[in-house]
Amino acid sequence: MSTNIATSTNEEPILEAVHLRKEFPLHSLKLFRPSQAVHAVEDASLALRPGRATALVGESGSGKTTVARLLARLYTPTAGTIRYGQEMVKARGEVTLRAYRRHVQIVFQDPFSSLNSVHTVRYHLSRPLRIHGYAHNTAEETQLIMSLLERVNLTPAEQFMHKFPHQLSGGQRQRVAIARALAAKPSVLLADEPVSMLDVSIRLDMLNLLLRLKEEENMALLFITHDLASARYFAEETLVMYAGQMVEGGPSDEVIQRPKHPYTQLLLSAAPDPDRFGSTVLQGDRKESSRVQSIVSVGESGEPPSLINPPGGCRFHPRCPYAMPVCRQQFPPRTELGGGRWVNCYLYGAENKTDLAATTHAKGRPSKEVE
Amino acid sequence: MITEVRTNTLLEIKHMSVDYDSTRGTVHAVNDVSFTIERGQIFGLAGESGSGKSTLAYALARLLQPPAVVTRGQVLYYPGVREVGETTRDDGAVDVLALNPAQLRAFRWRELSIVFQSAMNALNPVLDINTQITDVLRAHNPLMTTAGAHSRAVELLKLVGIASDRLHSYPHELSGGMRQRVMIAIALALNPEMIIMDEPTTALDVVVQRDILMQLMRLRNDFGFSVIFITHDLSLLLEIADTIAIMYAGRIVEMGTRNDLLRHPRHPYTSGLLHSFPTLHGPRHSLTGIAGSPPDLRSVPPGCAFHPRCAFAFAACRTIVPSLLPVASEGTEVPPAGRGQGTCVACHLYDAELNPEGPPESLESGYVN
Repeated sequence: MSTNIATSTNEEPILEAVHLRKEFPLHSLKLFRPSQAVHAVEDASLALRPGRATALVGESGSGKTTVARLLARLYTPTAGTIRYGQEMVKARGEVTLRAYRRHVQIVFQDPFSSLNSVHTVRYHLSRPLRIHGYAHNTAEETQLIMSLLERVNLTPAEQFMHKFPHQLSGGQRQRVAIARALAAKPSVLLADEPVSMLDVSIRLDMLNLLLRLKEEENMALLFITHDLASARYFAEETLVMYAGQMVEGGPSDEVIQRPKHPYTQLLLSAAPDPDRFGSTVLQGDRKESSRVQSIVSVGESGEPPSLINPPGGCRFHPRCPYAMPVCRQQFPPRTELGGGRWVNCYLYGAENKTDLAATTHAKGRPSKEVE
Repeated sequence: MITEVRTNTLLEIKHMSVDYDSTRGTVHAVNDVSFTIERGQIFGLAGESGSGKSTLAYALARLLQPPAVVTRGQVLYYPGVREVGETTRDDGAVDVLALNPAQLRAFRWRELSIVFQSAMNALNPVLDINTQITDVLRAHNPLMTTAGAHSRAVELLKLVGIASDRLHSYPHELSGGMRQRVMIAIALALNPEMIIMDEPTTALDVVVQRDILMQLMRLRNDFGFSVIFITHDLSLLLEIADTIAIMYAGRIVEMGTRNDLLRHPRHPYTSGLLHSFPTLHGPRHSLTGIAGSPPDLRSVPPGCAFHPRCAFAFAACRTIVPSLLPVASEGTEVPPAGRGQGTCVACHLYDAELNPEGPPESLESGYVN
């Protein structure tokens, strides 16, 4: 397997994870049963570069949040390495972890539970400032908090400073959570579904805020989402995860416009897409039937597997319409497709080339998903 | 499958208003809302949280508890036309808000059922799903035998795509998607004419969501029930709903067919919503979304509630509340009579008296850079 995480840029990655693996052991009360574990992340490699956003896409249970938490060192990886700059990130040690967290910060999905309800906004923001030594007295602290709140568009800042989380709306809370992450002046920001709990009209605002911060501060961003459209809007690079395995990656537009892996194609066909419908509207009488068709064509698509006893080989094979015997035996190696694109799928393996993919696709898939 | 186009009305909501009384002032959660639902129609209700869409749906089902009060309005239900044929409508109409408890019990679930947002909380965690389905069946049909209820439960699970060996599973043993399917099975138990779905797929993954929506469309085609589909995800509604109503701060601001709404959004808020989600295809625009945040319902701005966030607001918008009026929709120049037929919009831009210049060429300018 190629360890080279090639993308179109040559810029050095600031945070790099190679072959990360995470297992959560299950504690069984039965004495002589073999010990079991949830294989949450099987083999994840990714590289984050300054001023660039990388989207990690997948269903729930695909391990994308686990990857973020591994990178934030909230979990210790079972295997694999994380490199920040030139340095390896060591497993233990309060001091090194604190230094690491100055550079790598995380924003959680749910702003209703990531803020402490008994503390004010000021307290939430003052902790990272004090811990990382940016503020040494109250005056400095106040000034820094004001500028943080202004950077995330919470104005007038003096008012927001003394509010409690319950006095804020969901969007405002998420802005406080982002401000708290920014307080440490990180060079990497891990955003774990930062907008999925927010209202539609607020979401875009939040995405644009993160985009602006990325540009202005030259931050590296990991954007975790299940929404392909916002991945395409937000990130230069998109990685697709399924059941703990990374299956496809590359420039966002390429991955989303021309998905290669059958799982990415499934995700894309399931995403709400008014345009897809709009294109069939004009067909007059066939309107009704084509609408039902567009929804029916996906078929019964099954559910992600249990990660305690995951299927062997490629974990997608039980749901994959093109599964071959080899898919059940071995996880496919990474195939480079050029231009930073790669896919872990035997349909695109060196010996099969794309001819096989093309012929298999022709059998049943809606043709628009093939190039 | 639907073989004929049913044009008859199933439910008619007239000037409904719902208030929540609180010590800090009355909240007008739903304000003068009127619409009609046809048989077999999927009626989409879209809006942000706090726009009153769930309150409206609960009011229809008489599920509101104090401090919520229905202050005004009528909900007229036209039962049984499907079986009887074209009977006189006015005689057959039932005012749902005036039903006594016994009538209400007969109305709920036989005629109208609800799928709640969170299947996790809506199912009882200490009862298996067989018990929960047969409970519904026997509560509304006490003469049903145990064997009859059991076989109906198996049949219902089959309808929603769950194998019958899961009948004795408890909710925690099912995935989120399967729980939601069970909720739909329970809603279908008595073959209702109308199902209210309150954000049925919001907590689910896209793939599961697609499967469930597909199933819903299929069931709708087989049984011909109507659906009120409540969601904040407009992109979803544009794919499945026949008619879509957009709510903002307790009022319907625009209502029209799916195509019309997608191609010609009339209200600036609708246009803003349509430009709030990134697309999967085409060039990547930079999107600006809708500036500001939804209003506090205790102090809704005077005039049009949307005016502080609207790029096209003018003087009249700040003082006069716009009412929902029909406008010429695609193909038809003459505004059709009656509500629920053509496109209606509540915006002064389309009022020739207040805005003699007529609406702007394109509402996009307010939202796309």
